[in-house]
Amino acid sequence: MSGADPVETFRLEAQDLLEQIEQGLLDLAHRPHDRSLIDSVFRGLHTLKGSGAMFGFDALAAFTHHCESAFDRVRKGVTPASADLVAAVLAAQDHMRALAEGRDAPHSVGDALLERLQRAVEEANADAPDAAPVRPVATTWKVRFSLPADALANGAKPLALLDELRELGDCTVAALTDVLPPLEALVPTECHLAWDVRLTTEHPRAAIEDVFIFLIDDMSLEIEALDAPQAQPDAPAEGDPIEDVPAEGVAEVKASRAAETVRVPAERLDELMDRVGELVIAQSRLKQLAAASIEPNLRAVAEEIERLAGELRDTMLVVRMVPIAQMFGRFRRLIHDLARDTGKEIEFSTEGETTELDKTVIERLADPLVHLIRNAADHGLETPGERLAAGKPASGQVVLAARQAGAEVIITITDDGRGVDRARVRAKAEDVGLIAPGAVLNDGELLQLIFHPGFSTAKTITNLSGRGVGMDVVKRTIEGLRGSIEMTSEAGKGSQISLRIPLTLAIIDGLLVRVGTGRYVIPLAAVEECVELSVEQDMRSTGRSLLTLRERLVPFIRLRDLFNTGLAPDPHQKVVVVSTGHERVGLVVDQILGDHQTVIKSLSAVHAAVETFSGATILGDGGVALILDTSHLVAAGQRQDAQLRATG
Amino acid sequence: MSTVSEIANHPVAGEPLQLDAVLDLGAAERLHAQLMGLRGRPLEIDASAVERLGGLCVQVLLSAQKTWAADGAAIRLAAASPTFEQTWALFAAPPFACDPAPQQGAHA
Repeated sequence: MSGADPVETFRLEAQDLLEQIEQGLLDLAHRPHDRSLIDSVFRGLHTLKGSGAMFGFDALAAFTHHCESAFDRVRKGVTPASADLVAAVLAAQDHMRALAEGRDAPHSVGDALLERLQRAVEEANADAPDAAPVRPVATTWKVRFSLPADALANGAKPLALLDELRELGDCTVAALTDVLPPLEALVPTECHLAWDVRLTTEHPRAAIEDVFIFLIDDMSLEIEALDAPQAQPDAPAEGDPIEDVPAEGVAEVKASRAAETVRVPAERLDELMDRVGELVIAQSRLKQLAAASIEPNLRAVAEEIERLAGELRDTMLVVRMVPIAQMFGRFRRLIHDLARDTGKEIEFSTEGETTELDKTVIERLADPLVHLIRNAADHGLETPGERLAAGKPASGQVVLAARQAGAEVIITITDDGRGVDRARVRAKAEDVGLIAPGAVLNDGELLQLIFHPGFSTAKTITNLSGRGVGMDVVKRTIEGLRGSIEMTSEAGKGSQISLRIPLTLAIIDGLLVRVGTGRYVIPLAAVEECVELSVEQDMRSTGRSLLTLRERLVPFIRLRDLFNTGLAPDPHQKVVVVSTGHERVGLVVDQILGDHQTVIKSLSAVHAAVETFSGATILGDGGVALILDTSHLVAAGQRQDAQLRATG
Repeated sequence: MSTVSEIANHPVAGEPLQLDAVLDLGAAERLHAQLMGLRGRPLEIDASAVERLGGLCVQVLLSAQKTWAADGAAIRLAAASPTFEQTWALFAAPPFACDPAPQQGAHA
């Protein structure tokens, strides 16, 4: 048995339900006649209310009840899902979230939201086209159900279920005692009873399924239509509000709900990951011992352990991966609110939602992405009037896309707005002293100024774009994830910000190298190839070193010089060619020691500011190797090269 | 008023089994044990004091009916409170019978 706090369990459940409701509402704003969306929102509200009441969140249950009632009307086709009604429930949803999380949720706010909801329902009713009279459609259903053995002990109440069924229409109920064991075989705390119900109702099959919504995954439920509808509806009125969607079979409902997931607290995953990390380190030591041994059995076992540890590591990494869609979903609401607050028309689309990232990375990416999307909407996109004047459609586009490239995920935020005003960026940078007046900068360097602390070109400070803080924080956060951020922009056409993020922060495949007496790990994902640096090439190169590789010049950096080893170079130096963004750069090392499963350990706070290393790892012999941050390393090398050239 | 456990500890032959006022989740095991101790003899049940009746106790009583019928012994509901009758009906449980024939489900 898990000792999870039931209240906390409910809060997690509520979070999922509220996300489901929110996504349904946002989709409904575009497809107000979509029956499956309406059902999804209704079910979400229904479950939230029921679970809330069960766990003692009475205020939440009472408040949600009003929204559920409104959506029940929509579901029954009585009230159309008007834009105002959807917006009212969306606003109410924020209040539900506050109530579920136990945050401050004043009654006055709740009351105002309910008044707004009531008004929206009334207006939607008033605006609804006069429907042709519809004669009731009654169907008789045979419903047979039995509850899970522990259902009653867990608080399920068969009487409440039977009451709900009775409320749906004419009902004949029989308890099925045939399956009941004799007294000596009866476990008195388990539910053995089943019920057979004949129900004649105008409600759809989904309404019957809804009665069992909390138990449907584990119980036995058969629903069968016994006769054709007793009366046919008149032809649907023009603009019939609900699109008819075939009712899902219970088996299908169960199957879809059983796209089974198990909720595991995140910290347990972290713990497990730590254990795997320790195992990988221990395995590395074993490998080293076995390599020094002449005992063949030890070598065989060490190889087997290596294979198993590798597989376990891969499995663990997959377990930690979650689709980025989880995070993308939240931004739809953000854009919805931004459009409302800025008066801009914004079309938001996402691509590559199935791309997966380590859960820790996803959690840490959320805030930077919020900021970047806000910037795109607030700074990037023009008002509808400005867009029309510029010959663009009134509605602006913001596209959030993700794709995997090797061991990285590239996330882009693209807008088709006004693009970055270079003159304003330069003026602002000169104004705040970031650059000297008239300083010569290329386009990339100019755009990089945007990521400087305190830089903002917003003419008006709004609560959306912040107060000149943000882009530097975004950059720092991305770099903290061992990622990088780049920006491109074209005047009048829009901007794109690209984030390159490593798939995981826990364990990587690395290339272990030696420079002087120190050992270092280069992330294997960044490595393109390794070549030998001949003595002639080494002697020839001075200042900015260049290597010719397949008729292309590749700059290289001597790590020995950069790290100041003070030792003579190895006679057979190697060049590890790494890719950083669009560049290929060679890193000259003394020796390549081999591949290494690298468990990343963070550097201490004292060393955290050393940009050229992203962490450290423990080697099989107990020694420590620093992990190179290739993009920062290359930048540092280029700076050093430039200094050398400048000093002649 | 005697509690179910007291009755279970001191069964009086020939007297109706008086059910406790609250037959909820927690009472099912006690009721089960009590009935098991009374097997093999004709049984009258007095449910006149029942104020609350839950599904698990309904189930125990239905199983008892079935067991008594299989044993060929009579079982009868001597008296029932309105709450008991009403709740029993809401569960759509078949009526208590004196007839020792096995019980079957019936539409209520």
